[in-house]
Amino acid sequence: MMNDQKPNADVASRRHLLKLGAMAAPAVITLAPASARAAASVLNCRVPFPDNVDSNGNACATPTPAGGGGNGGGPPPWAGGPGGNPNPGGGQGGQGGSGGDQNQPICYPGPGADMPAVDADALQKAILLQDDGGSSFDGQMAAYQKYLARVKSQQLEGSSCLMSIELAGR
Amino acid sequence: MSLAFQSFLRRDCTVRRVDDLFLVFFRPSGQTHMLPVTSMALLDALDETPLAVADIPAALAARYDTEAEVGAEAVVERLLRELEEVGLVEQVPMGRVPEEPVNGGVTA
Amino acid sequence: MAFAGLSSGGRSGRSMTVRIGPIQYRLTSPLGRLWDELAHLYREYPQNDPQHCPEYEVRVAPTSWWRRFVRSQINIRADVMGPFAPLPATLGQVAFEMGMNYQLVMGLNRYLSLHASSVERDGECVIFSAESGSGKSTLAAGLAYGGWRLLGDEFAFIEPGTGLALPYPRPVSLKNQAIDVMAELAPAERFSRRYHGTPKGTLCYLLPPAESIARMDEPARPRCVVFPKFIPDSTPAIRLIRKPEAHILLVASSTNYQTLGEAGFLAMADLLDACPAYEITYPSMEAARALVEQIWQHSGEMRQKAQAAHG
Repeated sequence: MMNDQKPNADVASRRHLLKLGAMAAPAVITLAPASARAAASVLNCRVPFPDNVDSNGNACATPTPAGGGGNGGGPPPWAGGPGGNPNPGGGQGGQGGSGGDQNQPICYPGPGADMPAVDADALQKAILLQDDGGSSFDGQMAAYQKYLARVKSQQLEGSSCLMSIELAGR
Repeated sequence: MSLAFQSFLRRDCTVRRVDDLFLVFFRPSGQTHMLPVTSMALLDALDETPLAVADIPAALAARYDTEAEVGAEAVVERLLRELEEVGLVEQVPMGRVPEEPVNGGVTA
Repeated sequence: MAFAGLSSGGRSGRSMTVRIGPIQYRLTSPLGRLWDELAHLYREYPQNDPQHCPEYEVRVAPTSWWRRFVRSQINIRADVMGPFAPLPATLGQVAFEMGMNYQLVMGLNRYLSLHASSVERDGECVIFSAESGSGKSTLAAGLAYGGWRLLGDEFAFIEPGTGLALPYPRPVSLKNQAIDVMAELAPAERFSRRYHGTPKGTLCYLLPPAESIARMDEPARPRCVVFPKFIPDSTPAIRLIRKPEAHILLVASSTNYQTLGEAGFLAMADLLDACPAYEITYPSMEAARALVEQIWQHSGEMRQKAQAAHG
């Protein structure tokens, strides 16, 4: 439905039409929300996330535990796992290394079994919120960002989705 | 059979004027477009009847009580291509009866 | 005014509902220390009000049973799920804030949502639209502690039909130097503790002035839209922005413009019909406050001229 904004009586429109032959401006500009929500509904793409990601951005099998014991709970299911012997001085608080082999990259747990892949829209929003300081954790965030960078650079599954998000978001 | 173009401005669009431009909400795609007055005039002219490209400059000139320009047809072609990409105009074979509007009153 | 009636919750955790403007959340956690932080931060917000239904639930809990004790980690479970990765338990409050934000960004389509802050005076408001990290939250906080009422620091909600801006005066999220700036302007007891070790540095939450919270049910009529840019050592400046440019910028800032379809189109068109738009560059909070006063005057004059012209 057109409202009463018809240009018929518009003096300016006659002037513009007189210059029709010289017109070089675009005929139409489409307004785009920064959010990928609109684009995502068209793209409908997903980026798979591995269960766990290490500090180099690779998928890893088992999250690296901290030192054993902690304060009060039972021992973790895999005491003395890939990080080497449990560090008696370790325990809860902070994201420090396993106390074992310093060359082993730390393996961080992923978003969880119920989030094996995320769609473009959710990923864009989560990244925007994390950029806003709304989410914050040392190591894990860096690990995930490295994973996403690898997806793009090695053109792994989800790379075109990620690149589309970036295009849609600009 | 030559091709003509038409728009469904009244059926499919909500329009608001902003300074010397027009904001057009196009319901079939849910997108918002910003159009200069020339594009708007084109959509308006095509809303009433499908027109062959060659006839559009003269139709616009008559509508706005001015003279058709030399070279206007090429400009009109370019405008139509851009408008067609976003769905604001569509091609129809000449001689075809304009579509009966379907229920355009679908609320968002 | 906090209600003490928090359920003990048993093993599944303690739970409360809290309302911020038109949005009511259910917030749940089994972690006692996190619970105390949460309850303290929201002590002045309406809680457990049976007249309002909670619209979104956010739960912050250990990732697994042993994560309560070893390298404590929590994750977020919410009605609207995102790719939330686990966080250290020390950042549990940050997890709640992120989860609460996410519910609105992805799940609230009753209003036109703008990524913007806003402040109110005499029933009218200024809307500050800017990218993340640009300082719009700090600006709003500085104005709120300078005599304005805070409507919101993260979202501006425009009600389709009425065009009113609805308050969402949540605790303001501040980062790094912004914390120090606001520490000069707001009482110490209004600040949460600092959350260190984030990729963006240190985070802190600042409660808005008590009046901003108490008046969370009072909407405001938008008076002007401002696109602020903080540039250290710059000369304060104001530029009136043409409406087509303002449309492009504001649509880009909306998280749900396209989802709302024609309702969003009309709400945005009405907003910018009524409101002049400005860009400001400012080097300090003091300069920003002065620029906003100028804009307030100017936009008021423009309104009067427009009303006189249309009779």
